[in-house]
Amino acid sequence: MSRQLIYKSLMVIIIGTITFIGGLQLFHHRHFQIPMVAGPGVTQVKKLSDYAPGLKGTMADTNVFFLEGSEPGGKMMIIANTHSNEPAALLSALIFLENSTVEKGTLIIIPQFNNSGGRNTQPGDGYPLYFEIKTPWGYKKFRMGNRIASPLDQWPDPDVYVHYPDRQMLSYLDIRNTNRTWPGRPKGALMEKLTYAAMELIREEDVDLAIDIHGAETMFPVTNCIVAPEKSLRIATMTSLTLKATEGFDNHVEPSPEGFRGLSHREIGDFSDALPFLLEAPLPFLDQPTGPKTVDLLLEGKDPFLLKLSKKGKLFVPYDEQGWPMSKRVGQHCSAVLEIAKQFSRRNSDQAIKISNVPRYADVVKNGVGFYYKDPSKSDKENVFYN
Amino acid sequence: MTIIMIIYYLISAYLLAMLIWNFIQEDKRADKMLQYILIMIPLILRILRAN
Amino acid sequence: MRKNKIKSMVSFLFLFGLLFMMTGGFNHSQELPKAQLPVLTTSAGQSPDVTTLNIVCEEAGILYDYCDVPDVDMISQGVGLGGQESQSGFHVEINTDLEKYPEGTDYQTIMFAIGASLKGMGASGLTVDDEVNRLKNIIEYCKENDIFIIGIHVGGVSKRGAPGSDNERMISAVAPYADLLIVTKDSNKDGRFTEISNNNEIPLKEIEYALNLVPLLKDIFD
Repeated sequence: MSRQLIYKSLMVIIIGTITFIGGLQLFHHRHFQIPMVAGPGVTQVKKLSDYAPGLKGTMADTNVFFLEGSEPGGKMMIIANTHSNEPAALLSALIFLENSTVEKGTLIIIPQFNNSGGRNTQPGDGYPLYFEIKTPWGYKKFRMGNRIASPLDQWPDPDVYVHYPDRQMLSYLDIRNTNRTWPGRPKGALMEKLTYAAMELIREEDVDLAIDIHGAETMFPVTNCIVAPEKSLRIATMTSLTLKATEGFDNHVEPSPEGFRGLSHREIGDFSDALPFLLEAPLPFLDQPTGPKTVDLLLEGKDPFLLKLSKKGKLFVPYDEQGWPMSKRVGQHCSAVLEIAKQFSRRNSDQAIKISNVPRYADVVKNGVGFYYKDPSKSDKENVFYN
Repeated sequence: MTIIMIIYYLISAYLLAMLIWNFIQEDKRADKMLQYILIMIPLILRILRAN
Repeated sequence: MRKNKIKSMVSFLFLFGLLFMMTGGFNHSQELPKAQLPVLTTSAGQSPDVTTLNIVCEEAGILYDYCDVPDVDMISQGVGLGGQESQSGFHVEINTDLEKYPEGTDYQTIMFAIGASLKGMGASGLTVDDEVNRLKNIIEYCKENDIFIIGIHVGGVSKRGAPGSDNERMISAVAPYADLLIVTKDSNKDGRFTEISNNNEIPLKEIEYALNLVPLLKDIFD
């Protein structure tokens, strides 16, 4: 055996080992399951592929929980983790899933809409792979996902993403962004199939309100707000005004631009009878000029650089030494969702949606997010669902 | 699987074959050997469809 | 004796103070004038706050006409704005009760939602100077024709700025000429509206939250 061959073999073995060790962490992350306890209100659990068979057997398929009230009424859908690196959405949806009871109408929850994105990460940005939320029974562990779906599930990307059906040209990466692929199509790319399945669900189930929960940078003007198209503007505005007056937090209304296609707050309204809303809570973790992207930054939202920028008036939200803790963001989302249902019910009494046992902003801020999660190890096995 | 995806897999396989060939042929420069191996990693993972 | 004198002076001052506060003192906040229908809502600066105003009007049961960028010619044509229709960068809504106030009835009140948005002005093809000039012409017309002007600022700190900024120019264009000013507390943190109110003897109503506009407008248009 020549010296050169030994040298080359050693090189392959060393690099192969490093790749394997690094890859193993990503493999575990991709296959890590988050248990979700179906609460007392859950009456049915379906798969999104039930509405569009193209999703069956793919990583894009995801659980859909139905919470049907004893009285008929309107239908509200909560979509969380459209962007899986904005975890306040999933945490808020879980509070609804594990606690709420529906007296009138139906609540439909998709806690991990972009399941593939939730199993992806951004190593270049130093994203943590997991984060933990303190609960009365220990820590509940979550995967930290990515904004876009994994290239392992949808590949290759085009040079330019041409949106269907408007043919608007968008960034190539946005073909894996489930807030750019609405309303989707049955034979398109996987993420187009995913949004198409959600559109089919909305149309088949006659959903009245579709709420897509997100988080946004403090340096981005569309933050701490409700984005709504013309048809949802009235409910969104009344929600915003009422939340400010009764719960004391700002959540201004941003009109959904007509010319920017592919977004849930635009396409759901244009391609169905549902009224769409997109909730944004400030997420300092996503801002570019911050310190390291740590779990602390994700959960507490405290950053010295943002604090300096805030003092120079460069942020679009109030920001002080307290940062923007997760409990504040999740609390805002809980209150905003409940208030949207209330405002809709005021005007549509025959289609009213009545949800109880969900905490509001002040409760979540006081008790913390984890206070509302059930211990899966002590729950009935048939009520524990994994995605 | 779309036709574009099949073409991309074929391109990956072709590039991988070229890299392996260059790696075998290279007998002097260690930096080049290292480069070939590093570039091979995503192509191998893609072709094996490891996920 | 001296003690009694001090005591009576303190009592007098206390009573005077109480009376002063009850009458609103020099602040015009308590003198709430009434406005008449038909009413036109519009924007001073093209911020989305005019949408808030319209929705609040609907909640209050006030039937209004709305145009984001009306000019004097349109306003002079009264209810219905001369049959104008919405198009790109120009929005019209006619909600006035046409049985009570047929098309062409002169507007009695105009409500301005004050707040600048470069995006909004851009969408309507306006510069800040165009918008200020447009407002100036409308206000002149209102004064000549005894149309009641209500200036409303509910955008809070985000719709305020340094002196001379777009937001402040919109305030300067409308607020000193209004017949009634309604502002949220956070919009008036620096007291600018109080100053305008005092200098121009304009009644000022400060509200805690924009939602308080609903009962207030009900009251004003009662």
